[in-house]
Amino acid sequence: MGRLLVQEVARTPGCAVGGGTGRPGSAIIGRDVAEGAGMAVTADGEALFAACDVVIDFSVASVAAESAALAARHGVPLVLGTSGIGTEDQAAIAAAGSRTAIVQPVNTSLGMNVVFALVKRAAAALGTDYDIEILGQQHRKKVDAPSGATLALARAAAAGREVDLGQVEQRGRRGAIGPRPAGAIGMATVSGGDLSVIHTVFFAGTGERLELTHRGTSRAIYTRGAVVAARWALGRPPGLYSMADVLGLA
Amino acid sequence: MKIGIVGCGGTMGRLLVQEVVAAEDCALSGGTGRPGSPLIGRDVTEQAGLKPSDLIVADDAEALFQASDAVIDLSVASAAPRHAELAAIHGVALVHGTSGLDAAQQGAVEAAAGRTAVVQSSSMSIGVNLMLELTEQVAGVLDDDYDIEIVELFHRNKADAPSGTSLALGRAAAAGRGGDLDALAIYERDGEIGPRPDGAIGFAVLRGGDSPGEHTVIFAGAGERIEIAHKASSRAIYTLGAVAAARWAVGKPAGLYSMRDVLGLA
Repeated sequence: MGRLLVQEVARTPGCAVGGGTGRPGSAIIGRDVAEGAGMAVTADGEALFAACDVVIDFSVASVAAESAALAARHGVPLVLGTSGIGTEDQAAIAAAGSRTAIVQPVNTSLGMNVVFALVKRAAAALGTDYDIEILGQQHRKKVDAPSGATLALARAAAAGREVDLGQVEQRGRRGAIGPRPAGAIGMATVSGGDLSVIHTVFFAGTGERLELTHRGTSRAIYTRGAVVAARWALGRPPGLYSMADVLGLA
Repeated sequence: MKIGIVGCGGTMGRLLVQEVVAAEDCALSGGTGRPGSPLIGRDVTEQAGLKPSDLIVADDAEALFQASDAVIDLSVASAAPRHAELAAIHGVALVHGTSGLDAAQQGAVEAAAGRTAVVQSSSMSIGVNLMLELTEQVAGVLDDDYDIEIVELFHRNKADAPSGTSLALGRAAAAGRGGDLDALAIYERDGEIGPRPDGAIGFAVLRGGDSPGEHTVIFAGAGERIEIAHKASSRAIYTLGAVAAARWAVGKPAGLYSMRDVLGLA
């Protein structure tokens, strides 16, 4: 993801790569961040934050809190795209968000975030006469299910209905499952091949259904969204923001 | 809530009678037919395929409006002024879903809306109206990097193309982009079409089988695409939406409303 981000920043008009860091001890330290950029990869986060207008961190959850602290200290906006951040670290990130702008997206794809907003809106507008089902289609190498996007779509639907997802979700149907409970939000996963990643939310009513689909065919959609978020965050007041804020969908 | 159906003997009229009878919180207040029609004097519910009631198909709508909280008109454009006037006189909510009104007929509906609540929409389907709103919203958020295409599939007997819903989706997409559909639409592709023009809104029409209507709006970008699809499996969605509109309109202040108002999407 880091290399894709460097490429994305380098090809975005109005943006320049301000530097890049790697894990201390990694073989990448000392190499060029980008070909011809004249900047070496360092392990020095402090120098990176001092040199940049905005920083993007898509690395690992264990450094997220440290990145947020550096962002706060230097007053530099941060786009924090790692998932799996623990409660304690998340509290530290929220604290840093009171001193600088931090965008923390669940998913940086512009299209997927548009779909999140559509799902929330449709769930709010349509009553429980419309059964909500979410189908994730993923490539065979993905090791967990439902996907993070499937769960985020389910949360968006539950938020639209103003219910707690834990109370209404249905996963893994098998055997004598009986009639579908009213108001349930179902999730199912198809896995195979090198399929592009496809998520569909069904609102199945009587005599009609609405389907909202996102198809991802390239990982570039995530890096593009990260750079959009970075540009948006520049000059924002301190706060913890989502992609919905970035896109004006909140 | 008492709901009356004008033109209760037509295809949509009979479906509306069934829908109102089936709705737990609604009571059917009666139905009318065209003067001279053999339906006049028959039982309103029986002619709709239900158990008989004590309601008789009338040829004048005045008594129907007097007996109703709301009246649904999916009949014919020529009857629109008379029904609108009666709704205004009796302070009855009116749901009007007839398309093809001329300027005078439309003027009559709007005049009535000055005195009572009128919901007017050419598609009463809840799903289609929500789709219009979502399409406009997405078109407003995503720029020209996302190409907009609209695909429809209808039963083999549908005689016009694109469908009214496809055109409405195209207008919603154009409105979201702040553009005019006439300037952006590509209705046909055949032969050496060349590269796709930036910002175009394309239409593709499929015909076959017995589908009551499927529409998909595609926003195709680099590396991803969003699709908003609506699939109808029954014409009942139009009557279901009309009854929802009637339920919503009763007690509302005078005004001209759309299905978007009914859905809280305006």
